[in-house]
Amino acid sequence: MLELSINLFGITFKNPVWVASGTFGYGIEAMELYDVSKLGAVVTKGISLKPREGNPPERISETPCGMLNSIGLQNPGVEGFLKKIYPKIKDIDTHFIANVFGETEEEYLEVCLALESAEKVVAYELNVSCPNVKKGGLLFGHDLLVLERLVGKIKAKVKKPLLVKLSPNTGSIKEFAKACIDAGADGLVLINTLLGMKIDVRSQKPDLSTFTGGLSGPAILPIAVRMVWEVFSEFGSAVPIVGVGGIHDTDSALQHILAGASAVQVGTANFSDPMCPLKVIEGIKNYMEERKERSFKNLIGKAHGLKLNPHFL
Amino acid sequence: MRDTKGKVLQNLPISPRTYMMQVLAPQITPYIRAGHFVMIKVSHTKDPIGRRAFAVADIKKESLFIFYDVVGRGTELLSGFSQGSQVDILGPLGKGLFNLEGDKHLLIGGGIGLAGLTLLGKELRKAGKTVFFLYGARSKEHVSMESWLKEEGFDYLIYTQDGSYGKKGLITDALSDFDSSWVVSACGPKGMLKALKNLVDPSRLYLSLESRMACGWGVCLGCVVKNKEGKYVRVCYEGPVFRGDEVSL
Repeated sequence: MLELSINLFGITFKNPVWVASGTFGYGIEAMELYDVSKLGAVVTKGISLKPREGNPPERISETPCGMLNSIGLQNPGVEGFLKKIYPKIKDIDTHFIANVFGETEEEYLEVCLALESAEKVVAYELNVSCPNVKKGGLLFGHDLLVLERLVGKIKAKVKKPLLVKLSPNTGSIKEFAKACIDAGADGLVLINTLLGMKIDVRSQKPDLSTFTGGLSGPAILPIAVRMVWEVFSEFGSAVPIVGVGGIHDTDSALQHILAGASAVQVGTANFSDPMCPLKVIEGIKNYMEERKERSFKNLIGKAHGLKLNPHFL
Repeated sequence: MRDTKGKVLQNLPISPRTYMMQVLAPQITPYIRAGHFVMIKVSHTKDPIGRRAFAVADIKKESLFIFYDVVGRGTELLSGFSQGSQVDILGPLGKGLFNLEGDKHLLIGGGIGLAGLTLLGKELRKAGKTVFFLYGARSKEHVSMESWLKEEGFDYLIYTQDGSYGKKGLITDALSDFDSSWVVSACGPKGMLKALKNLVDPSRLYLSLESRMACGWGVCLGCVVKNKEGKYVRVCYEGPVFRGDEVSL
């Protein structure tokens, strides 16, 4: 019997394949297509204290093997989420993780506190790395002291596990990972989108309304895998890492896992291939069967087994 | 919405810039109504990463038809799909569909936008309604779907901006011939739809919108347009068809 379930920060997930924030709404639309309860978890679209309109179009733009987005965290606010959306998801038989966004420390905290009694939400994923909003977001994710203070403040007040989704647009992801761990984070989510840009040569103007946006898709896979690898090397025994970035099939998911991810999130791939997360679950099962590996846990960070980094030989 | 594999029965140029593709897709054709669209994978690689959105222009038995202009990399790749090849189709998509109420329907298509109205024409006729098409294009080369209108036996009038075919002018020039008893449905360039909003009572005007989409099924929030309250709504989910007074363009 294959064991795909995994216990992370005190919660048992039926499998390690989740869907990433902003690529799956709140799971409602996908229910028309498949049974969402088959997923390990659904990470919600970013939730802020007050409703947010988001950025004007154009909000998306295709790039080689990827895309840029600048949605700007359009969402109904935490109250709107609890009133209008939560009743529709509360009977789905899998875990929900709320992606939480704020412009100030207090806003982050208030959103988390408002969700404390919502049973279906089992953990928070702090969004300190959204490149598409003017206030908050990056501000928290790009300053070690500010980040450490934010994580510490929330951790002290909430009961549910606290994950932090880190920005790849910083100097050293290890330093930011350490700041989160020192402040008590229960897990790290690596990585958010990379800041990018596209120019439309016909109009000779930036293609996105906000000029720059977040790059996602297979194009960022090697960067995400490298960052998971680095953080696992240093802090793998301290907190679980959730890998996200460029996962679009079983191979890319396994790369994250073997680099050190205890769970993975399928993101941009949901857009063009909504069945992708289910294919990845099946693919991991097949891989384990072929390798006669009974427990998924044994795959986590397995690529670190042979410490043969040529730089150090 | 289903994620299905169809079989290409035909994929032919019908004019220098326009292709017609017929796809056998029995899993979804019974559920397709006027206004629905589908997302088609144009490549089996990850480049380009996204599917492309196409209005379902017609349904015959278990196959669907799309018409598309070859304008970019995606449609260029699609034009290379040969007869018998497999194609990934997600659909039917869209919750906001055309209005079939009313006895007389004026269907206004700008360029390839006509393909967004042809299934509506057939549904309306089946329901015993009066249907008239206005088909506007830049020039003769852009009038690629006339043969479809002719073969299906619809009444229509063609306008070209440069007068190289049909009447010279814009389709809006013909609006005075249709009184307020006509329901107007339109699909085409934004400029045309904006003009119609100013000329036709928006409460009897239905607009099928185009927008950049990454997913087509409501989750990326890339395709939004502002509604009358100034809030962003999804073209792919709340639309693609909106009543004229429901959206600001």
